[in-house]
Amino acid sequence: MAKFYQTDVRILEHKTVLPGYKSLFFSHPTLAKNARPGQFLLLDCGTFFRRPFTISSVKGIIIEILYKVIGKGTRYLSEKKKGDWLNVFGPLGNGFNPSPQGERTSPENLVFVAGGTGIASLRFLAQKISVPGILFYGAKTKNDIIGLDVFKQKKWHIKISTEDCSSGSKGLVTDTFKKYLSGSRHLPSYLYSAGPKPMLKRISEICISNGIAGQVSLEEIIACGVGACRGCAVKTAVKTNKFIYKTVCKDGPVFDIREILWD
Amino acid sequence: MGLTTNFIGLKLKNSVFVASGIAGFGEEYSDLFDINKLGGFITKTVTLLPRKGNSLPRIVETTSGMINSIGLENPGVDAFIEDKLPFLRKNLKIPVIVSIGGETAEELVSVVRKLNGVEVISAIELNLSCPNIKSARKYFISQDKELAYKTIRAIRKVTKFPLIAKLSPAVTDITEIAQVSKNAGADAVALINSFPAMFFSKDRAPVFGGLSGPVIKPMALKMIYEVSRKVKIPIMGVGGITSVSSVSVLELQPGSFISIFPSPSLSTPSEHCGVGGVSGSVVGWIITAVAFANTGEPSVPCPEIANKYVPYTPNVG
Repeated sequence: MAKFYQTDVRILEHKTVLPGYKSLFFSHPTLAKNARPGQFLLLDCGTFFRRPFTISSVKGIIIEILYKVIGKGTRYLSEKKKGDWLNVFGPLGNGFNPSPQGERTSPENLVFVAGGTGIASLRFLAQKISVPGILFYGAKTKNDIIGLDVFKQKKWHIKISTEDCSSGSKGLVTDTFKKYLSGSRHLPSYLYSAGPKPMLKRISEICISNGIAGQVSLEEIIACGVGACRGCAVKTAVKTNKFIYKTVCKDGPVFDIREILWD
Repeated sequence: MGLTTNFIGLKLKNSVFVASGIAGFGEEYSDLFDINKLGGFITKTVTLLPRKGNSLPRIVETTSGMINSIGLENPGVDAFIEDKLPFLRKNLKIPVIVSIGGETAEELVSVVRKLNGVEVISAIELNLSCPNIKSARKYFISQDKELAYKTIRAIRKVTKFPLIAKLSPAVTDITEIAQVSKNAGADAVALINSFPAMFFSKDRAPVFGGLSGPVIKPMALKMIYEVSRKVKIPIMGVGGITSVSSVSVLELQPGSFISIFPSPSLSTPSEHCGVGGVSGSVVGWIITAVAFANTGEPSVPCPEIANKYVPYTPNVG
């Protein structure tokens, strides 16, 4: 049985969530059944490299891709209409491990930290986790806050940070998170995080120094998507003073926070 | 489709290969399509000792192509034989060509000695032209006629495997190197490796690598054309193949390539040449495979691969 598929799908719905942010829906029974939170799809965006998009929700056989229009590829994608065909390849990557062995993940112990469109993969994970936790979400402005519906429905405790103070705390989500930890009597025991690399690096450092275990999802330029070309390498620890390159597309995009050797 | 080709003594059911590096060691793409639908399989380049590869960034998209600077990341020949070959031995019914690389003739000879007698291997491709490894020497083996001759000759002496010399396009006259390769005992040449190129990383550091993709196809074509006119040696065409139409140009089947290249040295073209590859573009490879499945035309060299590509039509209300 194929674990992943390359196939044409029809776009069922393609709507603007906020200016510059879109949600694309298509249906595919087997892909939907196999997809795990943290996994991604490579979409044909009319560019030489396909573009990676994390799966932001699966409901029945309907798959949702929540994305920001940033460059050539996403612009091409954003112009696709309901009923248009789209070539998808996936689901790829390992995805989050929602119940890591030996870790306590009861609600008061669970923390998500999202930066920008990193919210998309955590949204799918929140769908799959039955209990609510705390979400720290960093965005540039209040006009960049997306994908909170699932968290609200599931009664998550949401803490927003915006860089321009237009919503929630002012500043970076890493600072808000650190402040929360220093003022909290019960530290969370497990972290899931997705967003830009510098944020993930900082969050990992904060968590490790506070004895919090967790997983982060990396963003990278992807060529093959199956670990063959070794283009999306990431330095990971093996023993003291040693490292090996793993691939973000196949070994990741989700890694244990203790595994990655940040630049 | 009953299309069979003889290439350097290998009986192939079609003339489509994946170029070295594109499909790793075979296992990576095995969930997506049946590799046995290909004419043959070329592994990622293997070196004597394990190589971790280059630091990041390793790839960048360019206009109509990409630059890669992977740096020949591979587990080394011993681990290749122990860990990677069992999969190929168990699952592949098509010829397996092992691509090997090295800084010196001695190193390449050592790799070949270890591969000698391994029954699953059908031929060896000599990567004499990887543009993204740091070396004390400022040029590739295939950029120096004498060195290329000595190297291929030394390898020829220690192995019975058919040898395919993969050459760099960054030379004044590719036909000279092709001739030298033939004189030294190469059974075929693979034309071409990626073009030496560079890009700047986000923090403005220069990254050196190889340019591949559709952008290099016309340049590959020129070199294949020139060699096919001058040197009587089978050619494996590689570079920028990302669709059926691009395959039909580089892939030397009667009525396509040969009609463009009336070469006196190619009396029965399908026996001398006719191997397409996709250089440097894994994405391109997938597109190629899909395009084959979609057209289903008998003239298409490999119509059955990517049989898992099945358009799915949902019930749209």
